[in-house]
Order: sequence, then structure tokens, then C-alpha cells
Amino acid sequence: MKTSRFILVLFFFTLQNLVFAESISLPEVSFHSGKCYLQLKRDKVPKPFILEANQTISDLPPYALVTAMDAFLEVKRGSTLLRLGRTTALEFQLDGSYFFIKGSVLFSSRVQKQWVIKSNHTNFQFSAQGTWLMETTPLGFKIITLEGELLPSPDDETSQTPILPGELALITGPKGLVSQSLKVELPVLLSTSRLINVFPSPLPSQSRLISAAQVQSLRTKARYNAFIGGVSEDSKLRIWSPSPSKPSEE
Amino acid sequence: MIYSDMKNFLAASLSLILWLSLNAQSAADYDARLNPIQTYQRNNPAYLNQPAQSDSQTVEIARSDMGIQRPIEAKKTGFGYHLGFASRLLYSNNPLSQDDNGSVDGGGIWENSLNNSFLLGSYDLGGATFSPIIGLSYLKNTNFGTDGHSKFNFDVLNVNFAGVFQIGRTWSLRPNLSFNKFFGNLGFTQFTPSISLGKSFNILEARSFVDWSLGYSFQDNDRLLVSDMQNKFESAWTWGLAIPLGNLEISPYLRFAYLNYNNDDRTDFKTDLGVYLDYTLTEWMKINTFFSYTNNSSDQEGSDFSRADLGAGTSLTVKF
Repeated sequence: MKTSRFILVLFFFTLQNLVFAESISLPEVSFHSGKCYLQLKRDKVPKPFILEANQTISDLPPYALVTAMDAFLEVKRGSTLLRLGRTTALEFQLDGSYFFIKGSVLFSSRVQKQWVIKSNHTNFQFSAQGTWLMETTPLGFKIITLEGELLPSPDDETSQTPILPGELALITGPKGLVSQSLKVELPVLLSTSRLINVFPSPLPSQSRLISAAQVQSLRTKARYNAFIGGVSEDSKLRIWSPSPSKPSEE
Repeated sequence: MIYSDMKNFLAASLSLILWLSLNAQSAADYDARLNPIQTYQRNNPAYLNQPAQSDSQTVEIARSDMGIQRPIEAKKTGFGYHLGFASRLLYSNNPLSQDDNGSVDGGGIWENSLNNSFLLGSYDLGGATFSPIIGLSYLKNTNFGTDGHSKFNFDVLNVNFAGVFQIGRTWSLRPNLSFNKFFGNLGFTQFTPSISLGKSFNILEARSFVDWSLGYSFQDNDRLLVSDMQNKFESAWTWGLAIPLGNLEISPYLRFAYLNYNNDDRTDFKTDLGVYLDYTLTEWMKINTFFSYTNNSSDQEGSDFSRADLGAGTSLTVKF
């Protein structure tokens, strides 16, 4: 009788920890290079703190993680891992959402959950499980799914079309409208991304990234002699071709 | 403009097996001289999807920390069909792979083959990939230059089904089912299930692989007193290297095989080594020259042989 009660308590304890692990775990700095800061957002804004390796961020949101020029930061929070690129600022908000101020971030999560990532120009809500890259643009975000699936939340105007591995999309407008996706070559992206390669430890999803890239290679019909750059002020994606010196826009 | 760059993935792809070499017959029998490198390529989905010409173009350094984003066009599932024709002429000092007792005559061989590969898509298993392939090929082997050798001419129809599991960048596991129907005066059939484990790695610019395979061949041969006398277990270790030099690729290989004919109470140890030089002329045409040497050491009298082949050929491939 005692044994069965003990097993029952242990089961519920384990279940509770599994279900709420994400919400109760505190972000921890697992790697940084260069100067990275924690900026608390209070009525009276305090000076930013310099983040150290293995530091647990026990402050309550809202706060922002900020990287200096040539600095990189990796933060683990439960089953989610965030990597911030150079000159990046990402704000953690009290309701669990993020306010993406500037720069580029890699998100990796093994748990399917709802995400809300905002900026001054857009509010992107989606459900995701996997690894993806995001970068701020003048009108919102550029997003590339590396593995797993990212499903934008539907609204009155858009249908629920997933952004699949190897697909790039632009997020614009207050409702977070998702552009038509464009396929980009994953092996090249994975081997040149600083958000993947600058960090000393491989991503937990490394094997999934490799298999996603391999599958895409086997499915590839054609590669274009062009490279995607940033986004112009009028929401046009810059496509660079090595032969002409200036980019073309489409 | 469309151009090619499959280097990253190809580094992982060279670990797969050369299972059709299991079909090479033993001493004094039909000896289909299969090119291990080309056979591997024909049954390897990554290699099949590789553009024929190498790419020397450098890429722009991306400023973004996200990485270089090159647009591509991709199929939804990766279904594909490749049709190939290959022809080659070779001189062999022992074209029938007979016991070398001093009376063996050398001769010429002309081989023509038609190859079909059906790529049945590629699938992400979340950390591994799965790529099934069906191969269908017909090979015609014609002996010339020596009296009496022409009666050993043969044709082979091969149907092959392989499922390639690629694990990580460098490991692969490939279960395979192969059926061969030999036509000619002494025709027979052979069915071979096999499995192999391979690992690839880079040596500077060259791609290399090692592979270990296990297989059992069931043979039905009416000319023998016992039709399944030539059933055999085979375990082989293969090493291969592909050295790219512009449009030229130099591919040496080495293979050791242990064969046990359990119905004949016979055990062989077979060594193959050779080198292939492939030159890519166009996206769809290659020319090649090759040298190969085989030594078979058997515990059964009359089954030892050695053989050296030297030849050249061409291959045409179209991809859909």
C-alpha cells in the first residue's frame, strides 16, 4: 500500500516537473563571447549588468539581453535554447513573449508550444517545435526554419501555412503577415551561420539539422547563383548576384 | 544561372556499400567485372543528385550572423529517375577467371549496360534520413579476341532495392535486396539480401569511405548437380577514395572479401584493388579509364585465380 502510494506521488511529481519545467526554469547563460548585458526594464531603468558564464538570470521579466559588437550569447531555459548574434537586443516580457529589438537570434526548442515575438512593426504569433533563425528587418522579421515545423497562427486574412525546414519568409505588419516562402540552401546556411558555428558546443538539435539539410540536398532541383541579403525599407528582399555589382530586387 | 555545390553533403555520402560486387561470380564462372566506384555511385542517392561538373566559384561572405542564404528550387519529396548507358572495352589476362595453371589465355571484353535508377524520395526521420531506391539494369558481356571464349558470353538483368539510412554526417546503414538473372548458355538466377555499414571522411580535398557488408546469395543453377551448390555467405570490407582534380576524378579502391560456400564446403578469400579515372566532359557524359586486379585464394582445388584488367569506356546519364 505504501509502495503504491509512493509510486503514485512520484509519478505526479515527475509529471508536474515535465509539464511545468519550462515555466519554472530560469534562464542560464551557457556561453558568451565578448560583452553581453542584462538590462532590467523598471520604472527607473538601472545600469546594465554584465553577464557571466553559467550565470542564472533570476530577475523577473521584463528585461533585455543585449550583445555588443562582435559578442555572442547563448542562454538555456528549460528545453529552449537561445543564441544571440552580434549587436542584438532581445527583451523577455512578463507574459512569456519576446520583444525583438534588433539583431539576429537562433531559437531551438524540443517542445511544441506557442510563441509570441514582437517588434516595433510587427507581432508574430506561431506554434513551433524545432530550430529556426530570426533577424529584424526595417518592417518586421526575416525568419528561416532549419528543422522541425513552424506554424503561424491564422488570422482573418491569412491561412495557416507552415514554414518548413529550409524555407525563408518575411514577417511584416501589425498582424504579423507571413510572406510567400523562399527555399534557401541549408548545407550552405548551416556551414556559414555564425549563430551555429561560433559557439563551442553543438546545438541539441545538431543531428536533426544535418538530416534536414541532407533531405533538402536530395530534393534539390536547381541552385541559383544569387544570395539573399537584407530587406529594403519598402519591404523588398535584396537578392545579390555575384556577376553584377549591384543587387537586384524582386 | 544554375550552378553546383554539393560538397558538404557528398562528404557524408561516400560511406555506402558496393553491394553489387557481391554478385561477381567466383572462379571459372561468369565474372561480371563491376566497377565498385561506379556501382556505388549508381546506387547512392546523394551521388545521383550531384551535378557532374565541379564548381570552383567562391561565395560572398555574408555579413549577417544568420549565414549565407542561397535560393534553390527543390522537389517536394525528391522523387527522381535517372537513365544511363555505359560502354567499355577492356583487356583481361584471365577473362573467365579460371584457375591460373599456366594455360589461361588473355582476351578482350566489351561490356554495354543500360541502367535505370528510380529515386523514391528522401525522408527526414528527425536525426537520420531514409532514401529508398530501385535500380534496374541490363548488362551485356561479350568476349572477343580468343577462340573459345565467346561461348562464355552472357547477359545479366539486375533488379535492386535499397533503403539508405544516413545517420549524421558520416554514417550510413543500407539494407539491400538484389536479384540477378544471368542469360546465356550457362544461365542461372541469384537472389542476395545484404546489409552494410559505412563511414565517410575527408582527406584534404578527397572524399573517402570505409564500408563493411554482410550478405547471403541464394543461387539456382540448373547446370550444377545440386542447383544451390553455389549459395554463398560473403562478408566484405571496402575502402574507397575519390580525389577531385577539376573535371578529373581519380578513385582508387581496395576490397577484401571472405566467402563461404556452405553447400560446397568451400571457403575463399578474395582481394580486389584498382583505380578508376573519370573525366567529366558534360553534365551528362563522362569518359573513363581503369585498372583492376583480383586475387582469389580458395581451399578448394581449381578455384584459385588471379586476374588483371585494363580498359576504357564512356557513360551517358540523363536525370529527370
